[in-house]
Amino acid sequence: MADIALQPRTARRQIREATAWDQLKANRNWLGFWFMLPAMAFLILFLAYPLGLGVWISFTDARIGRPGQFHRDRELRVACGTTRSSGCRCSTRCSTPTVASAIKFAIGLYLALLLNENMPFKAMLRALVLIPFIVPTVLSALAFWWIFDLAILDHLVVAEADGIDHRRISISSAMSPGRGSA
Amino acid sequence: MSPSLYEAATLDGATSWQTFRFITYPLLTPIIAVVMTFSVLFTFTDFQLIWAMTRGGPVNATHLMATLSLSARHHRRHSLARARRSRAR
Repeated sequence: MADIALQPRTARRQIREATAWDQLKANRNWLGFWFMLPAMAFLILFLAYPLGLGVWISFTDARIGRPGQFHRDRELRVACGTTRSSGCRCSTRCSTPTVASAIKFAIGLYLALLLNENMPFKAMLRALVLIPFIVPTVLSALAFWWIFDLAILDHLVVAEADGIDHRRISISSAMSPGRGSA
Repeated sequence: MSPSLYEAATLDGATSWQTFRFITYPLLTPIIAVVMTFSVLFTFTDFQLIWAMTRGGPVNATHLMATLSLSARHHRRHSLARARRSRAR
């Protein structure tokens, strides 16, 4: 009877070897993966998938509400500009954003380091830098277009000279032929 | 970033470039990775900025995928219309 009284009500569990599942449950990397999964799903669904789909659709003759078909020869001919004497556009579609990203990185890093310095009106300057981000992209693009096309920069930088039309030697003259040439 | 790192670098006689190269840049690397990922993605998929400013010009030098796709559609549509007109004649 004494044995029964001393015995615990529930028997202790036998100590067993840790299974692979036990090890996985205690693995911090596995836990980290599940915490990262929502963010990953969001990025794949809303950024990577539309980008891939955009590339694919650009090689097909799809229209809204109608699936397209991939015409390898014709699409590559159009994409590589062999149908027009305008140079290879295959490389353009990758080189332009690549170069733009590199320039954005360089300027952005320099600006970040500059704005991190201690200077008077630091908060105000930081706020000014952020203004273009709260303006819709098209409006800021139009503002840049006006700056280039109306040659505001040229008139500010280059003095008026008699008989010379500055628009002819301006940045805008390089940009303007592009409008409508596509 | 901890100011003590910059103080130590100054005491060790590091130049401003060395401070940037061996302290600022390594500490910024994780942020740069995230920012560059988003930057590259958004640059490749941009449309409005290019279309409002250059429409892919001059001489198709600033085309991105979206602008090229749209202009290829225009080009194809005009080519088809031209072909139909010439056939009708």
